[in-house]
Amino acid sequence: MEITLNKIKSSLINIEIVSFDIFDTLLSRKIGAPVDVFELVRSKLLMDDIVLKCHDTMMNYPHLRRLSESEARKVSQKEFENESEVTLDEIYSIFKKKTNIDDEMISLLKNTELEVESFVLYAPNIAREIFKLIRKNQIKIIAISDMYLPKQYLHKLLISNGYDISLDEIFVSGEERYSKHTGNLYKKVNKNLNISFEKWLHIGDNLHADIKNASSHGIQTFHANWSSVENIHIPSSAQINDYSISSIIDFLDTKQANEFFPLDEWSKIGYKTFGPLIFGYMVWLLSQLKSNKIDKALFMARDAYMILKLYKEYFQQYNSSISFEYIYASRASLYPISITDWPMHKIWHFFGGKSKRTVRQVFSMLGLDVDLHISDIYQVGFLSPDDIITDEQGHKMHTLINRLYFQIMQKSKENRETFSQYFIDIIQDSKNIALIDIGWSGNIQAAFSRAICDKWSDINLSGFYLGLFSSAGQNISPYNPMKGWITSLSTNWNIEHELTQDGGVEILEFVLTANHGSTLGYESVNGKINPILEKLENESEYNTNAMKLQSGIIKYFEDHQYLLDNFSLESLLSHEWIKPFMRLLKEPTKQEAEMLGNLTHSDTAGENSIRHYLSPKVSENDKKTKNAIYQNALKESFWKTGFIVRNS
Amino acid sequence: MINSVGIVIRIKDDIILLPRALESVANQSYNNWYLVIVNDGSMPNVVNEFVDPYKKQFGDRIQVIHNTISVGMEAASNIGLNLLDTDYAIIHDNNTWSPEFLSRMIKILIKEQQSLPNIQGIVCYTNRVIETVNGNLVTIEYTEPFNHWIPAGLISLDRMLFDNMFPPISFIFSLKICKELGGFNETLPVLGDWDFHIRFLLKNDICVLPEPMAFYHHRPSADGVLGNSLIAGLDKHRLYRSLLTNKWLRDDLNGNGNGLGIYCNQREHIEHLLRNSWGHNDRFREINDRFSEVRENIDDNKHKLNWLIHSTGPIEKFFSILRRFGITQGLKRIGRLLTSWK
Repeated sequence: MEITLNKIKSSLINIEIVSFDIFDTLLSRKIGAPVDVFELVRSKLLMDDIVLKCHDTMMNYPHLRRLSESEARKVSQKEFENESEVTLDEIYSIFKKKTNIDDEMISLLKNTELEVESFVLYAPNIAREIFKLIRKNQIKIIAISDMYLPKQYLHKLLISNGYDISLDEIFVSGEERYSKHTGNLYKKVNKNLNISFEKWLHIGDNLHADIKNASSHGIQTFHANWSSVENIHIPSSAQINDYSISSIIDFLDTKQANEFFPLDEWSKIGYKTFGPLIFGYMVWLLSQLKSNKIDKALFMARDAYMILKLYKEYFQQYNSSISFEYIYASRASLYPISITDWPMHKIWHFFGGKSKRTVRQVFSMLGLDVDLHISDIYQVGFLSPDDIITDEQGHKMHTLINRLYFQIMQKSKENRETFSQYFIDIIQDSKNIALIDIGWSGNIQAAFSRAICDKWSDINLSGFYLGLFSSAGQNISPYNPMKGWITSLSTNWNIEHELTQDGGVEILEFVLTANHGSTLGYESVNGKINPILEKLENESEYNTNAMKLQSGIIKYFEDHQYLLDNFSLESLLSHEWIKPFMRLLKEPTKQEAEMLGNLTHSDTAGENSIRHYLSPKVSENDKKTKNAIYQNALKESFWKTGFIVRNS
Repeated sequence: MINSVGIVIRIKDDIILLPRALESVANQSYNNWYLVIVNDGSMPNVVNEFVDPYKKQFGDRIQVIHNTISVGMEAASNIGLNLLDTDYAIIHDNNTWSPEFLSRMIKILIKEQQSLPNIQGIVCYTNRVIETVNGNLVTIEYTEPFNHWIPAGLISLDRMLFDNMFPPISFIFSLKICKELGGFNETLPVLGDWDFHIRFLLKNDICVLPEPMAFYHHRPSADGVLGNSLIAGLDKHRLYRSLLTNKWLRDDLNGNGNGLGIYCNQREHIEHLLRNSWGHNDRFREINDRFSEVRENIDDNKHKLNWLIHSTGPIEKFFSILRRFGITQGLKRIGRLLTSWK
């Protein structure tokens, strides 16, 4: 920016007037292409009655709007000696003829277009600085635009974006009937303001209209290259909402989006990749809370910590009737108090995971005394309670736990009698309760519902998760409904596969981690039940990086709150929000693979101290030879694609 | 008290299994229950010895009836049920429950009755517990799902007419309806529960709680008093099944029935036809498994491809050596390199 300002400064010698192009110079749009504004207009009106009154017109609105403009330009070209400049009114006059819709609807469409323009436009930092610099040098400023939008509207837009400019200093091709494109608008301005071409500097982005044509009149020029825009409508089979959301996402890949990104690399990944993902989920979540008439939302530790933070800050205002609470819980803290029934699949959860534990440790989690069951331990084939339960010995542990079902259930009952009050106090008198968490298999909901004893039958408990895998089918029942957003049961096998087999789950758990330790259990202090939290020592670097990444997500939400203010939730529902995350999983850059691959993860309930790299780095020799060490490290990697890229 | 549950434990010489059954009842978090123990032929003093501590704890909520001469399984059930004056009832015997069994089942039953009043019973999923008895010690060998395939919702009468879908330990029913039906058929030494379930379903619905909270204990190696009627009396089951279905069909054909006999017999034929067609399904399953393998191969190849994409270094090096030293010398050098890597 400094270099650009110095260049401008040195160009100002002998300059008496500076003219700015408006679009993509003083103002840029926060979407993939300007033409996508029409897609956003359709999305914005999605829930309006207008859709019912003129369904087909609205369905094809973006196309009809583009067509009307093109035809209006042809009419203008005939009338004004090759100047094809038009006004918005003229465009909509053609639109009206084509569609036969009434004036009220035309007015609604026109106003909506202006409204959408006003919230997708912003003033790039560099443009503001240049404008300020010229004002400081007390040089006259004018704005010249090849545009169909009304001059008065553009004036308001410029003022609201921090450009102090008066109405008579703005020249718009549609109203002047001359354009920069033909070069005639420069002549018209020269005549109107009686200014010398030699003492005039024009700043604009279009190489033909702003640079070549201005230079041909002897005007000094400066190419505004801070925005890169390709105004092309790409035909797509995408659903109505998807096109708009895709345009919002595509903006992140433009040059001009850079100024929105945080400087720190973790925060930048948070902004670009996880910002859209979590934003999309939150939109879906809020729409679910509304349609299911939820009166209390329970955000489950630790993965819903960030979600709650974002909900309070950005979403609560759109549905203030829902009360909410944060619940300290984990698989390790919930399992011992939630064993009210005995589905076989659950037994594996007591000792599964990459981190292996001893029989004694599993007994301790279940509240059993090894000495009272030593005969059972030997009978299933263990030599000692301190035997580590390897994958090969899993079936022995399964049998052992099965044999002791009666004792385990009894112990669980005692635990509930002591600790269930923690959850019951949080639920209070609410009837329609939502459980919010990262998701995957619905185990936490299955455990939570059982931990609240009789209360479960009195309430409607539903889970709304970031993702729900097919394994959740084991936990779903009419009394425990649950849904996922990225994928829900077997709705999207490809995504489920990427998440479960290639690091998606582990990366997302890092992204959403809370700034507090895992819930180890509960304790009763003076009749009050409090959670016992693990200290964060083992995870300090992990957490520091997660917090940085989350700050990027928060900034993304700040920058995109305008969407919540201006669109219905229904029009923002889309799976396009997932795309940047899926790109990261499948095609990470070397830097992303280095950063995220170096994270560690623990996948064992109640055991955070034994951690494994998502994608470990191997030695140069292992990398070159792809030897057994490399192959084993690849096999053990949570994120295999990340491993390959990191070790390439 | 409303929503009270009467529990019947029938014992006949299987005294060794009584303490665990009593514990199962005493552990319930739901307290509105009454227990009748029908001692159908065991020594009264032995039974009392086990029951008395619980009687001290639960008072008149526990009753013991001693039949000096055994009256049979279903007659014993009816004796117990007739002594009860509760809203609901269940036959417990020497099986076990989760401590939340009564509490959860009653709550769900009442909840479902609010929208569908014809529901007068509830069953939950059952686990089968396989155990062995050595002297006075009982060892659980393993536990397995018994009927987790039953869809949540309502028990299908059609399916029940083929065979019994759930054991008594998982079934809480309205005592009033049970008494209107005349209780259990005392002439049946086995299959009394199937007969009762069918008669119940002919009048009312039973809802399903898809949570395995009941444990149905089997002792396959035992016979006599410790054997389950299902296992130990396998031949009897066949005999009495024919007896029942023949009677129902006879009633229908003689014009005295309600169609149960014709339906039940036809249902059995259909079920056998369906099961015989499962061979064809195996072929489909095989094709499906093959698809899964192909999918795994694709994933595997994807990783290999990624590996290749990101591992052009050695390949480039291979060709650069060939270019630099010529084919013969180059291959020698590569050979030396490979040997050194080993």
